[in-house]
Amino acid sequence: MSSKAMNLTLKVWRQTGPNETGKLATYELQGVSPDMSFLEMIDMLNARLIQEREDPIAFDHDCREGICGMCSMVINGTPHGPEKATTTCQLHMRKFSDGDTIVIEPFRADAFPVIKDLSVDRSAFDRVIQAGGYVSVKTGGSPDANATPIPKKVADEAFEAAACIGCGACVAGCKNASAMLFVSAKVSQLALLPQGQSEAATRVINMVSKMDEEGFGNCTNTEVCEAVCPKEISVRNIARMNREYLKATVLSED
Amino acid sequence: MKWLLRYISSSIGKKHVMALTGMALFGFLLTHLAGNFLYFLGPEIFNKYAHALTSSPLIYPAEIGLITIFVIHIIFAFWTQSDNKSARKQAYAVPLAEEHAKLSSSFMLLTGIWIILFVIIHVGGIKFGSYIPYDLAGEEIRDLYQTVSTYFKTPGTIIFYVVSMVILGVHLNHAFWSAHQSVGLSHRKYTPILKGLSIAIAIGLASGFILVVFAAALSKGAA
Ligand code: HEM
Ligand code: FES
Repeated sequence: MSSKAMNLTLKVWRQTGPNETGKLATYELQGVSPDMSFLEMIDMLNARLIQEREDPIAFDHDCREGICGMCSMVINGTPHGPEKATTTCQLHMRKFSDGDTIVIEPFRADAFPVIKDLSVDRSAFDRVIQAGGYVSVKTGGSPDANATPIPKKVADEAFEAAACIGCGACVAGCKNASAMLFVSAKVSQLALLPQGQSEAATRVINMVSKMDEEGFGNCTNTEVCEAVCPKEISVRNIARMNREYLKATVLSED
Repeated sequence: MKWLLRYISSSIGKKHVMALTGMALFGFLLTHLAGNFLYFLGPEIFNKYAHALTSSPLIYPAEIGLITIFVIHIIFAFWTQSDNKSARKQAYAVPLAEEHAKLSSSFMLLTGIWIILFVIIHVGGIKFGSYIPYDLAGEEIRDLYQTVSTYFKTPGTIIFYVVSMVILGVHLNHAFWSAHQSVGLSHRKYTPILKGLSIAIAIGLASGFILVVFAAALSKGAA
């Protein structure tokens, strides 16, 4: 690892609006510090573009600490780039070498229309979550801690599912643009726990129906989603959702 | 019945139909292979078995059932594929990095289409192939043993069958564990074993069929 500044060739998807046709534009960027994050590298390019009175590259970001899931981009064919279990904002330029060409594209899926450049509309995910509906909770006096016993293993499994930040990398990396890893994580985090049981059947049916309606593809078990997920959500969740869906369909009375 | 329609046309329902029809086809392959192995026991037993099979009153319902399952599997294969294509109409300018995907999962449609062609040629060449009479204690039955022995004497046929069985193996290697995952059977302890078993089954089944092809090719009998 060297701390020497790098010179890079960037090929970035530029698209002025949702209904415009976009194309890859090439930029030469000099003096990139290996200690920069990937987003800081784009900030650096944007600062230059603004100075040159060009339109800066639109991209989504918010927390820049790997928890909000906004920083969506496909870097050299991999959502969130080459480092495993890492969001784009947490990816550092030392993962690249001087002279590299880096291709940056938006997350692509018909359910994620491009707004501008690298920025895509992922509100389809919000609508899937909405379709999941509410969770019944007991109001009134606060319950004792650990009043509902849950085995540690189950709690851990639910927690791992709940670690999904809804970034959409699973959709972006899947050749079928399938959202099953995301939806299954959201189904699982509740289906695993006693608190999630009351609405378990309607939840899985409604979320899957919404997922299909939004135009995501079908899972073909390529397991790319798990490989590119910055939170390493397991495809076990997909099997659980398939199971829950079958159970809900067979047992429900309507 | 509306629920059934909704289920079958949902993404997960479609996967379940693919998995169940696929596993049924896999079950057929197992019995087919077991039957083929009777070839090693000589003409009398092989012909007697084939005769019993084709003269059974259950053969037509069984054949119709098998064809139906096969056709459903194919229809759903194309249905899911067309969904999947339209889920990303604008392709990436630079293709997604392939290294993350399970390799054999990329070839399901291609291997499947090859299997359709193979089945047509195979049924045409054997089931509707040459009729040679065989004398079974005074009763005339079909000498399928001879038909098979003759059929596998041309190098082109042998190569086509070997290639086709390897392709079937590639389909099964992904299909076997994938079908379990699709219907929700996933387990920390058993899934890794299942994946290993998939490879073993794919290799075992393909080489089983190939063994019979080689036996027929090397059999004496008239060429
Ligand atoms: C002997 C014949 C066949 C057997 C034993 C078989 C078996 C299977 C099984 C068990 C699956 C797994 C389903 C899943 O992932 O849930 C599968 C998937 C698949 N099969 Fe077949 N199959 C056969 C023939 C065909 C044919 C003729 C086609 C024609 C196109 C085909 C196309 C596919 C496709 C595209 C998939 C992937 C579906 C997906 O992952 O969503 N198969 N097959
Ligand atoms: S910007 Fe929040 S996860 Fe990357």
